[in-house]
Amino acid sequence: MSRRPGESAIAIVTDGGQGHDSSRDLGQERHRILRELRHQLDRHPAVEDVRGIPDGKFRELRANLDPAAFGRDAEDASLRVSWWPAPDDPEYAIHYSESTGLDCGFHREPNPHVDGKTHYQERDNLDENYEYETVEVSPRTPTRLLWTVLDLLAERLQ
Amino acid sequence: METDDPENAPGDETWKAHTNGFDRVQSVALTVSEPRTAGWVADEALVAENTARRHLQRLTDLNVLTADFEEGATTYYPDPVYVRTREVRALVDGHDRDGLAALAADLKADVEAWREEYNVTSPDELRIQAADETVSADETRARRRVASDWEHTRYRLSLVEDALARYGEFTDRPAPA
Repeated sequence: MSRRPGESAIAIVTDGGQGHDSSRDLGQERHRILRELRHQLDRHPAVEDVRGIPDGKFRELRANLDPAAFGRDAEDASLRVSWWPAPDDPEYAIHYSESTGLDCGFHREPNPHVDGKTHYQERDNLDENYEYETVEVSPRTPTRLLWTVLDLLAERLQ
Repeated sequence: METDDPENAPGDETWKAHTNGFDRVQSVALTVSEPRTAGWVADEALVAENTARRHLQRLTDLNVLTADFEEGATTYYPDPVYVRTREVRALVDGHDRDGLAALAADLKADVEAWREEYNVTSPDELRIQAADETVSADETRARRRVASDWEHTRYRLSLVEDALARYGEFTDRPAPA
């Protein structure tokens, strides 16, 4: 796999900022970011509904998607959004799954299969191993990054 | 790490088509990790700097953001009181008193399980433990995830406790005359 036109080679991710203030409440930050990401997903044309999971604990988001919006002929599709602020810089996973068994996503987290933190991973079904590819995604803020990743996912899936 | 903002990122046009400038400024300003200027927010929210400044001032007037002027620039950051209040409101809307009590117990049980499993008393201690060179890469990642879940759960529990403490006040409505 190679870098697609939409994936910027310019910059690395998110509003990590200088980010070493020990007074930062990372729990509040994660909660607040997930709340805004949920609002943004509510506005996205491919999203049918979105909720926080596990029920009541609101640790990540799960959205039901219209697979046709991604050019897919699947019965169902969903998106999982996780965001982990950290003292240095944040990590995230924005991952698409569908009823055909295919799943893929953009992740920023250490992974032994790729150099650098940000990568794309994909497999056709649960019995296969993921294929990994190092990518760079440019927006610095979570909400803009979400729209970018949804656009990149649509590009990959079509 | 931070570099110049790219002028156009994939998804920008879709974002602009489905939101207005105020929505985008608000969503960017409410997700920052440190106070940011109007110019910085404008770049990320895809609006002109004057537009961002106007929306940020409005959000400050509404107590959604706090503004601070130092070193010749005004910076904006989410108002922690606003952030807390809207979450407490969501909890009270989504749960009755018993449901909140059950959720509080569930969150406390999660924290207790992490304390026991990792033999630490706080997420900070767990992050220090995760950075230990003798810990495998997989285990480092797992412990960082738990530290984040713990921080998040601690905050969520404080919201649930606020909602429970004032449940009657938050749900009380006078009967019609």
